[in-house]
Amino acid sequence: MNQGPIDLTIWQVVMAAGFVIVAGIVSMAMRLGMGRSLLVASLRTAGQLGLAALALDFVFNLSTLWAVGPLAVLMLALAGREALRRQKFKLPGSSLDTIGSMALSSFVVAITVTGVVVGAKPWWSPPVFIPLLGMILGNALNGVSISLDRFLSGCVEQRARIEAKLLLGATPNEATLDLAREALRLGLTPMINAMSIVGIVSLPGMMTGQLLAGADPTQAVLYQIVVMYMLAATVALGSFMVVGLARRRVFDADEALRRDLKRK
Amino acid sequence: MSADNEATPTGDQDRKDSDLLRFESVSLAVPANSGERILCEDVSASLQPGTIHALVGPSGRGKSTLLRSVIRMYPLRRGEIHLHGCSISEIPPTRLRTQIACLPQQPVLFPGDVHSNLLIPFRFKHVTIQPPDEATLQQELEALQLPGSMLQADAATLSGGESQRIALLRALLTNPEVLLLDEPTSGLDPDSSRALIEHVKRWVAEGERAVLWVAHEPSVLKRLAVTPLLLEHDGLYPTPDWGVM
Repeated sequence: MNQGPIDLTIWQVVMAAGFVIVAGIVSMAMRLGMGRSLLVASLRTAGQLGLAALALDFVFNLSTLWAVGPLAVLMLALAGREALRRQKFKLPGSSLDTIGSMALSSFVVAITVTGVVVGAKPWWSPPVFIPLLGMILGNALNGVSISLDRFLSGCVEQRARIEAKLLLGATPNEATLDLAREALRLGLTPMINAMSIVGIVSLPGMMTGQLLAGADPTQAVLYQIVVMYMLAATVALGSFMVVGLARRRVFDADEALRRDLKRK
Repeated sequence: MSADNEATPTGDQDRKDSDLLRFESVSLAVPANSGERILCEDVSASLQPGTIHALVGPSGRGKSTLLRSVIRMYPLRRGEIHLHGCSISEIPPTRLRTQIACLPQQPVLFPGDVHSNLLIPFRFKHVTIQPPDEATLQQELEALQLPGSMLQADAATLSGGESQRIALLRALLTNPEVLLLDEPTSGLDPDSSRALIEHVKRWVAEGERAVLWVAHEPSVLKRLAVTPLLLEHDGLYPTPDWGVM
C-alpha cells in the first residue's frame, strides 16, 4: 500500500497554478478588484518558498550548527518583527520583552523537543529542528502578541480601575491580577481550541505533509500529538513571560501606572 | 492646615512634630511641548490631626495633581511632602496608600454588588485590618443616609451620589490617617452632598485624622466652615472671602 512520496516536477506546479488563474478570472468577472493582489500573492508564494527551499538546501547540506544557528536567529528576527508590527500600544521597553519572551519560550521548547522528546542526534539536526522551530515561532508570535496586546489595551482602557485599586492599597501585581488573567486566557484560547478540534474538523498541515510524504499514519499522528503539546507549551510559556514582564513594565518606580503608555 | 507663608520662627519645631501631613516648598509641573509647564511653585502647608482643610483655585492650577502627588501617583518637581515627619519618598508607595486614602472625582466601583465592592481592599495583602461584618457595614451605610439593604444592590445600578458615598465608605473602612478628597460633592444633589460632608466631619472628629478637600462650591465651603486655601502659581494662600465674591 505504502508507495512512498510522489515526486513533483515544475510542470505539475504550473498545472496547480491553473486553479489560481481560474480564481483570477472569476474575480475579474465579478469586478472584485482582487486580480492584482491575487497575482502578487501567488508570485510571492512561489518566490518566498523558492528562497526558503534554497536556504534549507544550503543548511541541510552543510549540516553544521554554524549554519543552523544563524538561520534560527534569522527566523526569530522575522517573527519578532511581525510581533512588533502587530503591537498597537507604545510602551518603552516592551519590544525587548516581546522578543525576549518569544526567543526564550521558543528555543527552550524547540531544543527540548528535538533533543529529548524526539531524540534527534545532534539536537539541532536541520530536518527536525528547523521545521519544528518554524511552527513554534509562528505560534509563539500569536500567543505573545495577543496576550500583550490585551494586557496593554486593558491598562489603557481600565486605567481608572487599576488606579482605584492602587489607591485602596493594592500592590501593582494585585491591581493588575484580573487583567493579566484575562490577557492570558485570551492568548491561550486559540491554542486550546485548536487542540480540541484537531483531527475532527481538519487534519493539520504537518500531518498531511507527512502522509503525502509516505509516512505511516500512526507515526504521523504521534508526531502531530507531540507538535500540538509542544505548541501549547510554547504559547503558554511565551504568554506568561510577556504578561509577567509587562506587569512590571507598566508601573514606574513610584508604583503608579506609567503615563507614557499610549496607543500607537 | 496653615499655609506656612506666615510661619513664625519660635515653636516651629514643636509644630512640625505635631504635623500629620506637611508640604515643603512643593512645585508641580506637567510635560509640555518645550519641556515642562509649571502648575504651581513653593506650596508649603501643614495639616494637624483633627482638622479639615479646603483647597480651592482655578482649574488647571494643579489641585488634583497635588492630591495625586501626596500618594506618589504624580512626581514632585521640587520640594517634599512629609507624613508624620517622614518624607513620603521614603515610605513604600503601597504602604503610603494604606495610610493616606484618596478619593478621585469620579468614583470607581467594580462589577458586583455593593457588599463585595466595600470588601475589595481587604483582599490586598498590605491592608492588614480585619474586614467589618455585615451589621457594621449596614450601620455605616445608614450613617451616610443610605439604606442598609443597599449592600445587596448591584453597584452598576447606583446613582452618582450613591456611588460617591460607597466609594467614600470603602476608603474609610481601611482606617487611613489622612483623607484626600477631590470635589467629592460635584454633581451630587444637596441631600447626598450634605450627608457626605457630615460623615467626613464626624470621621475627622473621631481620632487623629486629617482631611484635605478640593472644593469649589461655596455651599460646601460654608458647610465645612473652614478658611479655604487658594492654590496660586506661587504658593498657597488662606482666602477667607473665597467664593463669596
